[in-house]
Amino acid sequence: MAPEPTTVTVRMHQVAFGDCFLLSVGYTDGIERHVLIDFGQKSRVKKRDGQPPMGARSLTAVADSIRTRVGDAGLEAIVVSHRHEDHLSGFGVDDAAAIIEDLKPKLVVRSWTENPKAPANASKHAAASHRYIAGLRAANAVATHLAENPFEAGRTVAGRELTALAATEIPNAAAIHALVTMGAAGTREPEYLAAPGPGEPPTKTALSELLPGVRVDVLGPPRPEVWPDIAKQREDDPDYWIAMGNSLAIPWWSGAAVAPGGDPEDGDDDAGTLTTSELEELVDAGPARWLVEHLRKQQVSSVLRIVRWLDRSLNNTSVVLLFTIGGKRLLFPGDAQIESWLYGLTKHPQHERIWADLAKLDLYKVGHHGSRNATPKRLYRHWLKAARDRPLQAVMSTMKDVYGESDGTKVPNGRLVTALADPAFATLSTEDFAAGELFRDVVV
Amino acid sequence: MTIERFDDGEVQPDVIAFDHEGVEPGEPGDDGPEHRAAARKIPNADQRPTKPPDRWRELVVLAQDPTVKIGGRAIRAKVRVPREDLMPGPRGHRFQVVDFDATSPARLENQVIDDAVPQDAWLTVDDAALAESAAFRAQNVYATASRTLDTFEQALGRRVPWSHAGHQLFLVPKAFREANAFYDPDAHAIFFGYFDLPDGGWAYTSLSHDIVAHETTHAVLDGLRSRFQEPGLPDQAAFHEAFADIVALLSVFSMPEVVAAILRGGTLDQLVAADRLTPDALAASPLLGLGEQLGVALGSYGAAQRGSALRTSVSLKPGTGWIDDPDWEEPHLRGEILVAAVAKAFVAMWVGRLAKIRGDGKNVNVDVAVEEGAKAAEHLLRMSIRAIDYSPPLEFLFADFLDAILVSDQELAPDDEHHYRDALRSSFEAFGILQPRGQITTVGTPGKRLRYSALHADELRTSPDEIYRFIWDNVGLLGIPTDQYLEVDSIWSSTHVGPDGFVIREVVATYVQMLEATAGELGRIAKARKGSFDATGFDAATPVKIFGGGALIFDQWGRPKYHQAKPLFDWDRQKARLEYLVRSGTVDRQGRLGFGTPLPGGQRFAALHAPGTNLEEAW
Repeated sequence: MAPEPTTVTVRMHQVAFGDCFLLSVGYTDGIERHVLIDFGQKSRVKKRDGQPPMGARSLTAVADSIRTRVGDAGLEAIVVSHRHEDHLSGFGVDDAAAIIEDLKPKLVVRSWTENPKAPANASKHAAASHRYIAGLRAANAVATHLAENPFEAGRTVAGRELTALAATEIPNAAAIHALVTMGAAGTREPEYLAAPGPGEPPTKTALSELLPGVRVDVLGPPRPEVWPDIAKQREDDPDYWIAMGNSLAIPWWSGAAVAPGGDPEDGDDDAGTLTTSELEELVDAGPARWLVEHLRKQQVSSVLRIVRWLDRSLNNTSVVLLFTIGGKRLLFPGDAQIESWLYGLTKHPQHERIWADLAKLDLYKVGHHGSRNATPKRLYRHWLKAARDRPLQAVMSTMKDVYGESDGTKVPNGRLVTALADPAFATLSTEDFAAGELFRDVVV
Repeated sequence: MTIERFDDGEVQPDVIAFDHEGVEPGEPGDDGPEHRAAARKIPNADQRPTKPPDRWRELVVLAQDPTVKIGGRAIRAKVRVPREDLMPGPRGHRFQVVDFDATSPARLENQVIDDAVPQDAWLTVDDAALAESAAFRAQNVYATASRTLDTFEQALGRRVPWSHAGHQLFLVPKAFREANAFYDPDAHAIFFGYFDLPDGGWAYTSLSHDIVAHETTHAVLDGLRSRFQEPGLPDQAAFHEAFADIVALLSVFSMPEVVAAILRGGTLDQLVAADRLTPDALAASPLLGLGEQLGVALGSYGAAQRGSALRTSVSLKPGTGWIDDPDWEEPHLRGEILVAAVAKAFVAMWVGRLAKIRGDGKNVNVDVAVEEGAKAAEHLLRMSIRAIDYSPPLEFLFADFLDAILVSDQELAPDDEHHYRDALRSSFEAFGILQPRGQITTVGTPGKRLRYSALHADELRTSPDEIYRFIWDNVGLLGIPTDQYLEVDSIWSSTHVGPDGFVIREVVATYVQMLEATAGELGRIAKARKGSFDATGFDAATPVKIFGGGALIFDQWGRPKYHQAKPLFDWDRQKARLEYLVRSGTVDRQGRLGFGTPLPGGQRFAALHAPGTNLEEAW
């Protein structure tokens, strides 16, 4: 007779701005089974007082604590929601990766977009998902260029933000290699999951076998063929990124030397200029020349907005998993944004049953570190209206003053944080951890 | 004597000039009829007086979003644009088109509007060729922007400056490869992005009439009320968006052939069924949608719920739940409330005009329906624009806009023959926006005369210092605390023509006040002024900046007739504003409240206009 779940615990680790969760399910056979969900941390964070430890050593310490926790049972599986560094960079730290590898995970689960065998085809007539993959790859090439060539506008606030953001979009080759290695060594074929399309059966995953008595619903990401809103962003078009890449090669972007000093504010005249001869080639002296030079600085902000769209697109590749364990329900959405969420909540073939189940959710891993676009308001209101005998446990792994300056981009978002302080929720944030506290366990 | 004109008008041989130096019969020096005729003979007869030059130039524009088609073709219209000499660009005295692509930079090529080239070619060329023509894009953006500015200047009866020094605003019709278009005050420009379409080809935001009119309105409004960019209550940020939408929506009705084509629905019928002219039918018409191409291309889920247009605010259901709902504090969403209120008022006005002339009760002649719609739209647009003069320079609320429309229109058209003001009151009330009591006040009270003894009437029309002296000398009656910093930041003369044909002249002056302190200090300041400010919820050491201000409207004799005031020491309003700024995280880079936003001016409109899907789901 198959063992049945008896306990559910989620351990949230302090990884500064990142995610690292250990889901532990106790069974009637006395064996606790563990799934590691994400293991990453954002790099290039401006140092401030009171921040938790960051860097390779801190990630290795986290890996070590995971090893201590799981003991001889090892890991049943690793789930990497998506490829942003704050979700997988730990696997790129040699010592940390070695520790995790030693835990012999049986299965590695990632998004369908990470499948090395996924066809990529930039042709206008290719299938939507093939173009989508090609677009993401082309976009990553541009991000790499931007990150590795801090052009003259890097002296401006927007330019620095652009460079930093572009760096987070670059695939972490070491981490991906480690995941591929662990996946190949597992007892189950690596999985690259997507939500089922309309009329399709639920997405199968070996997670359900490895965790007996657990149902795993894959709510996202949707494939572009079934949810055009995911792929309709212009910036997922490979042609767009190829053209962008071509434009980066010309002096407009890369030519001029960085002017020393200068007030690092947008539009600052000291933040690098084209040479006179370069400008002469583009425009005659006169009023238009002033505008053209201004347009060039404006282009930094334009590209920044566009790279933010790439960031959003990669977030939308997040695997969204709803675990039903005994009578408990836990939701791990990675960094999925609203476009992806709405597929799971309104178009997924089992969306009605899922919506009903979500009303009875026991634990919610707050999406995208508490940003404004990753916890749909309709879902929040759904939780508020649900009759519950105890608060919904919300766990948020985040750090303030890393992302965003305006109301629209600040993470975590103030309104959401206020909303999660409602008595209907029992919210735990890594911001509440004491200095030196490496993890906290939440018993579901 | 030859009357000489300094223009390029035509010679008119039949026009004879008066010679005021001639000799009359019987007067000394009269040598008879032949001599008189010779004396009156006009020298240089081939240089006879000429007729005045044309006031307008006719140019073809796209009348709606390029995806709105009739008979399979994008809708074009020939419109009148104020005539001026144009240099290559084209560059006129208020706008300069700069056809430069920052994503794929190449040598700038100026476009030319050549009067010798017939405009009719643009009416017949196919849509793809039209869209790909750099010359047409330049013309479209120049013509639409010019008409929009002209609409404001006609309504206000004066020239409207830009917010920046200098006289020209740059228009960049193909600025970047980005699904965005925005006004950048720092660049003195409007940038129009472009993006590729799923089925091939390109979409240019500079070809969308709505978007060009909308962005130009931002620029014009910024010139009229630059302080609307100060951090304020959510209505203020929302107003910029809403007002730009209102102008774009109502401007379509100035192109009667376009309205007729849409009402006919692609047929040649001369009659429109009455059931297509009901409020619901008109609200659902493409006439009252905005930015369809951009909306569809963005795959906006929110737009898909409301229709393919980027915004179809008119379909919002009236209600008051939005007022205290933090979900509705987002500027776009909140602005839709105001647009909906105005759009519904417009529909009521149009339907009201039609009700008076309905023929057989079943159908209405298309031309009549169009004409009545055009009149209603023109009147409402002018009312809305004139209201800006009566609006406060900052700390703006939607109710202030209603107040300003009603009071300013009452001045110009006391009789309200078509009950426009009733339609506006009713429509706004349905959304819980009521005309405030005592917000716009008459100046001076019986028994308390204003002091003018040190003032000069001519200076009161032009000099900010004279206005300040007026305030200084009448501080008690005006209730303005002159112990605080005050700046008269604008003074303008306006000329309006009322329905009776008589001219009404006004002078509008705005002033602002500001105070920088800490949140903790505000409590002490309030107490010293016998008021109360509860600093609970604020870090006492946080630097804050509060504002007050107002508009003074003077009549044609230089007497102040109205004062639209937002007192600096209205502690309830100040607390509400600061609480909102905290709630929305609107602090400047130094973490101060009320001093500014984290985004530089050039990026604020860009951020507002970056595609934001599913706004109703975001926090």
